[in-house]
Amino acid sequence: MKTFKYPLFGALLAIGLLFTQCSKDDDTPEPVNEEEVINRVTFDVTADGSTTTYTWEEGATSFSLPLKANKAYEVAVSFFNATDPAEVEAINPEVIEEADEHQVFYENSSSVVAIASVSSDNKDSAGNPLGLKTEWTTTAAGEAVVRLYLIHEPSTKSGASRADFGGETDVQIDINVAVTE
Amino acid sequence: MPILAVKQTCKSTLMSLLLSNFTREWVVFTGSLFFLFLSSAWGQENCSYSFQAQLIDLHEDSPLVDARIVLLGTDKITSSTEEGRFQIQGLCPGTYKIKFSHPLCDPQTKTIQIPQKKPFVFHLEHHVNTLAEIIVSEESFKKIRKSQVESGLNTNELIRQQGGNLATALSELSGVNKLQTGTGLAKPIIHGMYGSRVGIVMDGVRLQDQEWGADHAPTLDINAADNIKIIKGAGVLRYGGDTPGGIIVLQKNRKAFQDTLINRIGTTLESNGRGGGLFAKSQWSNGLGSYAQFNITAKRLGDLMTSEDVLSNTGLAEKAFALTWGRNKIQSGWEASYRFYDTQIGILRSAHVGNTGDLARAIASPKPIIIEPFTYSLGVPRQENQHHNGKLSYFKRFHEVSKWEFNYNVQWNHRQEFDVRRGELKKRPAIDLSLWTQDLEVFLETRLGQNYKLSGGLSGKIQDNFSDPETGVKRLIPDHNKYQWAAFSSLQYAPDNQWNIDAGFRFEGIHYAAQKYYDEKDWMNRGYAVDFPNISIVDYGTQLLAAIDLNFLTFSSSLGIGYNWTPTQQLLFNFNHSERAPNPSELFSDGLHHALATIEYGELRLQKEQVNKWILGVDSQQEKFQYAASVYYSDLRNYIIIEPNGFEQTVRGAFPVWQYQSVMGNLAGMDLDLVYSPRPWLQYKLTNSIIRGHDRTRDRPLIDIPPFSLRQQLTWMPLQKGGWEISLKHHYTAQQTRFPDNNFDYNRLVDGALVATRIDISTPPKRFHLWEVNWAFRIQNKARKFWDFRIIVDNLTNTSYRNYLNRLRFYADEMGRNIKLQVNYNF
Repeated sequence: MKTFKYPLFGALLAIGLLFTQCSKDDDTPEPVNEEEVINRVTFDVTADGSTTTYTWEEGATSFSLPLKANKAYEVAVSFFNATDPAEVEAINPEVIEEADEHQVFYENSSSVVAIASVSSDNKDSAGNPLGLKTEWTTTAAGEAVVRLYLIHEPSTKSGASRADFGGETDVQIDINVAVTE
Repeated sequence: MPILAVKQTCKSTLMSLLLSNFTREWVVFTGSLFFLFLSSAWGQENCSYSFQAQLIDLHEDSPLVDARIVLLGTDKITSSTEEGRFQIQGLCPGTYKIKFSHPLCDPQTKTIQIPQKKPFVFHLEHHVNTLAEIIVSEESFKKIRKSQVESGLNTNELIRQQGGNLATALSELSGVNKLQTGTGLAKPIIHGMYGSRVGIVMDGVRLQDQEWGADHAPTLDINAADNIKIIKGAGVLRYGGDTPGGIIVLQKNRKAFQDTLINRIGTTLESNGRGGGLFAKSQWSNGLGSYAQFNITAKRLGDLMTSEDVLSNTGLAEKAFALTWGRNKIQSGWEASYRFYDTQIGILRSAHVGNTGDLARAIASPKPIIIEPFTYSLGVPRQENQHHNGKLSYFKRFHEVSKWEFNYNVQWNHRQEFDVRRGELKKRPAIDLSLWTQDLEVFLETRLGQNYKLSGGLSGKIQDNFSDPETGVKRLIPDHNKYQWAAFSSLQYAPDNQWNIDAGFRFEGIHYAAQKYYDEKDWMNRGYAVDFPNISIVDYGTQLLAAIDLNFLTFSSSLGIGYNWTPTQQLLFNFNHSERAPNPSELFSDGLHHALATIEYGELRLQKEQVNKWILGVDSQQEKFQYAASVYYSDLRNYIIIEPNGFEQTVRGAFPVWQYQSVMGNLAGMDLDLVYSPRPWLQYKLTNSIIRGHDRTRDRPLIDIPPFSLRQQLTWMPLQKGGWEISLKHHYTAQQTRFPDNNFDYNRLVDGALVATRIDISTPPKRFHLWEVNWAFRIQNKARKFWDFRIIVDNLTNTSYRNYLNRLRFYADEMGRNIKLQVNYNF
């Protein structure tokens, strides 16, 4: 019996040690700063030399952009990670840097506003406008919903509907465009 | 009579092929059962008797495989199967002498009477210290846990699955399905349950690998196992009381007490995926009881194909390695083993969607949205897993009839999931979980007289789960430690050769110590602040860190009764009460699921889940006709499921929120397996299962319940020698007609206005038929050296189909035709 008791005792002791070693002290886990999140979108709307900024914040259920009829506006869209209010991170530089993998697209089938690309817009390596800057031309008064998309890894860079682009939707916001006289 | 029965069954199954209607399926099922019962009356003529028995190792209670059985005075010789069984046919009434021999033992002779009146089990014992002496005893009917419903795969069936995964191999069995995420990731579903409700035990050790994830495949290499069994009775209590689905036990063959060296090297090449695997296995043992086993697996596949298109990013790379070393000195013995498993699996690129709009477009598209040229490289999304498993065990016998065992096990599981990300984050995983587990068990087993066997044990487990914050993504499950202790015991009573009864219980205490960050708004909105005032909280502004301690005490029990009403026919009854503490995902999960465009939330208030399950089975092992049929019913209390619960507005639009919650419900079903061999060279096999799941709380069907399925196989073995075999398999899966409606509305933009459109994520895909052919032959050059060749064509007709139990069914068809070539050299 002796021959078996001692090795067993040793094994038990070794395992006891392993148990205590592996159960680490309860370190406080670090908070995770989400680095990919987009939770603020701003629209800089410029007409006649003056710019108004409209901000969409995560959680908002409705978002409106008031415009005047028969007018041309330049609309610049910007994406931010505002998880940490003290350190709001602009996502646009990343989108511009990876222009080939991104596309901003406005889905618009309304009659009150026409959206066209502008020459000052950022372009990808093939010269396609990225959609960060666009020109919105209103016609008559009325209301319509225009949907903004930021598309990641689109299969093509041009199209008339969201389905044409493929890829994945990183941002999708419905904008209530209210055109008044 | 049996022939008539089988004809009827064939006809019935044909009927079921034509009709997907459920009522019909029930009729078919019960019909086939009825004929099975009729067929159990068998006629006998002179000299057409057969003798069946089983050989069991008295010490191990395990079957003696490959024992040689000679009926003296006749030319009848046979050998025992994997279950230790053998059968001798064509006997006239009278008294015979039967001789057993086995590598572990000297030959022994027994006298038997024909006709056989009762079932025989011969217990062979290695006499203590003198290996040569053997006691053959058949006084009592001490079968291994034969009061339980068991099914499994033997070595040959496993070799056929070489290169496959566990879930696919097991789905050959009735009552087993697989839950897939695409093609490479699959986990077994037993009687409608999967994940934490199904335990996986390899070499006596429960696998600890984040089993809670529906898209987490078990991290083990099936090529390291020699046989696989599914246990659904008291036998599970040693490994856990929380597995109402059952326990999958992977085992190695017992090593012979003689100088042996068995090697096998093999390969499986696959046309679909344009790759394959290399497999090597070596087993060594000597006459002193020392043994070693070595396994190595390497597998590589590129993108798979549906019947038409490339499934982009569905490649796979797998490496596995296992080493076991031990010594069995009969009176005592030890074993040390180490297993390593590494896998990288690509997940269909098209299945990564940004929001519900993307999901709607994917559902509307008949083809995967992204189809790239074939490649071997693995992009994103993909999973990378490493699993290390080390084990030490020791046993010692005492007082001739008792044995104690001591097992220690350490496991490290590392899971990384890579997602489609932007910029610098591309190379970083989105999920990075490390799970350390240590497990210690002391087990004692003793015989009380001839009729009773008592066993029991204590175990303790420590688990440390770490979620790396470097991912830059909110943790899916938080850092937590899990402490578990258990006490279990079972008693087997076998009064005679006809009855076998066992009963057991298991107590388990579970303590979770978690530290989790919650969104401050979430913590308030979900009412945790009110319901858990004692949880200490550290405020980090928008987030708060909660130190959560949860305790669960569970009690599980089981009763099994086996009754042999004839030597070859048996009735089995089983009752199991199992209690399961919620798993970390059910309690804590918090995050966005990119395959289904859902946000998933855990629930801290969940209580332990309780399942009462009754199984009634009948099985018959006759000469030409073998069958096993069982019916079961499970009553589910606090059954934890994940269901849709509202929407959350995000920057990507509205997302459906899925929330873990508990419901009352029930599961009921029937399984049927039958084998009919009218001639030695012809065999017909049928496997059939039906299951219903119901959520009583909301009076609607449970989700992800396997639809009716049927498998048939016709095998022709034209030459007894040379291992020639040709088989044709047919697999039919009906459309699931019972499913919960989880559809939701998505606002499309039409002429400047929002129009709600229903997104159908609930309706199961249509029924399908699959055909498979299998051609095998053997070239034997020397006594123990032979080549085995096998050609398998899966999905012979290159059918396009989708499977309800594939979570990526919205995005692409299942795999098309696959031609596999298997070559194994045994030496």
